[in-house]
Amino acid sequence: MRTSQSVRQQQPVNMAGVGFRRWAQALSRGKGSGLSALLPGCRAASGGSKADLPAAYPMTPEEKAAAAKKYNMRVEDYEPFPNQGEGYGDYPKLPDKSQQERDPWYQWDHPDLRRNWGEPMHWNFDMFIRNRVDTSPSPVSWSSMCKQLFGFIGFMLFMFYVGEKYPAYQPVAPKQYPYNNLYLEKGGDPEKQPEEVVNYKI
Amino acid sequence: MCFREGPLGCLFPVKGGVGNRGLVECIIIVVAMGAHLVKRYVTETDTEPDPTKKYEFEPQFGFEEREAREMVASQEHMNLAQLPLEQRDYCAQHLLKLMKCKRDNWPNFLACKHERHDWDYCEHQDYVMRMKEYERERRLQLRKKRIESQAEAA
Repeated sequence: MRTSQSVRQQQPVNMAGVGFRRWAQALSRGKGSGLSALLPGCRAASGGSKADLPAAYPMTPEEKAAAAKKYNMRVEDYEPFPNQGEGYGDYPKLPDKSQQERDPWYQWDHPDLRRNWGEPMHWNFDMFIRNRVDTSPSPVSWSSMCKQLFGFIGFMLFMFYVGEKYPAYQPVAPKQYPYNNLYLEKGGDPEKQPEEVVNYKI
Repeated sequence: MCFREGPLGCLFPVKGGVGNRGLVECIIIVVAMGAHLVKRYVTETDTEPDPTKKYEFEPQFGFEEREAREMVASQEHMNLAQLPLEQRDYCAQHLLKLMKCKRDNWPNFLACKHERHDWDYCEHQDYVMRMKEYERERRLQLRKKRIESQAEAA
């Protein structure tokens, strides 16, 4: 957030003007002819142009400064991903902080994403939007949450064990059933003579 | 009337009635709830009846003459009514009457009050008999233990 605000304070640019200037530059380059020459490069609308891809990893301080300027960042804030051939190029490594952490009362250009126009975008920006990962601090600490959860689960397991070991019941005798304790109804063999059960009044 | 007896008098209307006597009786009832569990697991583990085991004394023991319980509804009748097994008890004839009444009076759900009461009362009596059987077993166990200890002392 500090980065974006500082950029905005440094160079308040008219982005519509920038767009027009780039279009005019593309026209004046004058490659080809016809309709495609009027459009800024002939490409599918679904993907970014080759110019939008990250450039090579910056080696010299000048290249770093140029890359920082390209990503609308100050040089001291700009830090590329380590050059390990993973294809990040000069893309800036931004802190893994979710948009939920940002100030909700600031007048963002895009309040829903809490993001300003032209601000450098996290490589995994879609992971950190507000209805996905939230990195803001939780109300209680992780250890305290673990203690409470596993303490409760442990207590419940202990109480279930106690309830199994010492069951609670009403102080009454088992319910009495007729016909030799429902011998046939409970699936007893009709050929065999069941054990005779007589229940008495009391 | 109820307010004069205090809040516990409302919750537990017991025969002790007004004032301290009612309160004391309430406390006794509350403390006595689960007393059989305390006896079974703590104080009288050897004599308190275990519901998972068969009661050990003869049904006729201590009675001059003991009447057998009589079942009214027949097995065929209960089969035809498709009664669940747990309801095929000594009150099944009242339940069959209640079900028939409910069917004949549908959709008047207010009918069959008498049939329902008959069945409920029969089940209540059945439960009271179970309570008495439990108490009989408990007291006979205590008696047996008492006689044994007296024989040892002598």
